[in-house]
Amino acid sequence: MAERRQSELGQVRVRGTQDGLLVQLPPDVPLPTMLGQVRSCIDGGGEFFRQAQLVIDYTDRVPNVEEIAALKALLGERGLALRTVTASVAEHRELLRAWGFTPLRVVARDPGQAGDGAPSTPVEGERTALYVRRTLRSGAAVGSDGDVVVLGDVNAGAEVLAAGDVVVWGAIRGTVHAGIDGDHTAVICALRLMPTQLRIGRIFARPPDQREVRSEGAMLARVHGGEIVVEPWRADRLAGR
Amino acid sequence: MAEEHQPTTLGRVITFTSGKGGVGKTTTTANVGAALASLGKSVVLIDADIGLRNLDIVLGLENRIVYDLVDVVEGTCRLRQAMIRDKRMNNLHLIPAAQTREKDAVSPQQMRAVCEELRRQFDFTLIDSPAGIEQGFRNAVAGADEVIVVTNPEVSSVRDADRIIGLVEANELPTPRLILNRLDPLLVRRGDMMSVEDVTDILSIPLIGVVPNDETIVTSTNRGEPAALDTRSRAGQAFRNIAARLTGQDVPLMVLEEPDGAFRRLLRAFGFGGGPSVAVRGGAD
Repeated sequence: MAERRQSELGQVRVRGTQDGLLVQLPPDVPLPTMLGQVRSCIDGGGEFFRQAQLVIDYTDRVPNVEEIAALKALLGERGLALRTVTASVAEHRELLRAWGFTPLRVVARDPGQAGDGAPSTPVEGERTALYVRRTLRSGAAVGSDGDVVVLGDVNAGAEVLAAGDVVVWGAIRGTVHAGIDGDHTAVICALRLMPTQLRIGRIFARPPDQREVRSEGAMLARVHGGEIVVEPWRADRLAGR
Repeated sequence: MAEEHQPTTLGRVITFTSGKGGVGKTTTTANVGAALASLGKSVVLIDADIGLRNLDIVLGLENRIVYDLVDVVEGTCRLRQAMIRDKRMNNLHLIPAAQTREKDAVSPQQMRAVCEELRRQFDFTLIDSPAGIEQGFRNAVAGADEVIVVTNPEVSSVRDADRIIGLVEANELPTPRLILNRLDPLLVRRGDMMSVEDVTDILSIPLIGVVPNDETIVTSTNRGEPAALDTRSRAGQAFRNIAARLTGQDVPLMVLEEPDGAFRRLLRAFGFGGGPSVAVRGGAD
């Protein structure tokens, strides 16, 4: 999902995502000006804002507790609720947590690239992974807001759901869904890939009917050109072309 | 009443389960039980399939049922009264299921109590679990020390076996062991059937036996004469090997030949042709 635009032009930007309306704050713009920009966005947006979940995004700006209070007050004047405040830099996220906000999970960004979902350089900030140290048998289901790592197999009839990546040090025979919140840069890796179904973001894939699925070595599945592509694992395939 | 052989140590309670129905749990339980008894062990079999009892038929004891497992847990009779002695062997007994009741007639707690008592009296208590993952299965594993999963080399039964293994592991029982039943070496060679390796690759639990597909099983079931007591039966031999492994003997897997075994026997006479490469260990681990 590479439609994120940088708010470097000194303008507040509003972007719709799975997490709600992200109000992306520009760096370096003084508070009164910025408040004015937010006010214009809201007044120009009307109903659209009223029904949305609003998230203030400090990714490009240093979080400041007085600013946040001012923004909350502004939203309050307009009868709008703030869902949360987020940022991507680890220290900023810690600050936000200390002030009582729960930052959104970090999504890998692809700065400036057209949106074909090519894996991008990992963004700063922590990525939490659920580490499962056993084989997931038929009927087992595991989910995470972050990434998932399985040391074992994912058997047919088992499911793994992750907002981030899924890495299986074993065989995937079951169903794996990475990027469940719509992140098409998420990837799925396995030592042996013979899945029932793979899903990344909103894209589904199943093995072809005619052939028996055989995995020759470690594989990487990712979105390319709007579909899921499976290829032999190489580290450079992850770093982007 | 004939005197029982009282074990000096506590006996073992082993549940045979599968998930999928029709894979051969009942036949396996009966035959492994009969084989253990012919090795001199004292054995009691429990049919935990309340409402759909079959173990009595496979042993040919259906006409001798007076009391059943539900009578025992409800206090209608004493445990001893529900035990039917096998018509061939003194040291093999059966506690049948009730046919007119359902799975909720027995609770896991009650099963544990029964197993507790039987452990003191018999070397081996073998429990035939019903198919499924619900109450019947939970009852069947409640009192178990160990579980053996029976499966066929076929996708649906392996899928169900995997689920069952997951449930057994979640119940904090030791890792179950696997019996692969109804293997047909000819079909495997043709690529039309899963091989031993295909199955163990997915299930990843230790194998305790492979039983070949054998049409004499049908007749033995109908006649109520376990194949394990028939020296000419290849399936019977496999069951005897499983029993031996359960007592700690290290028995290699049978070489499963195609129906026309003459050529292979010739090959072996000249030192060629081995069995499946999967190692099997017996023992009470």
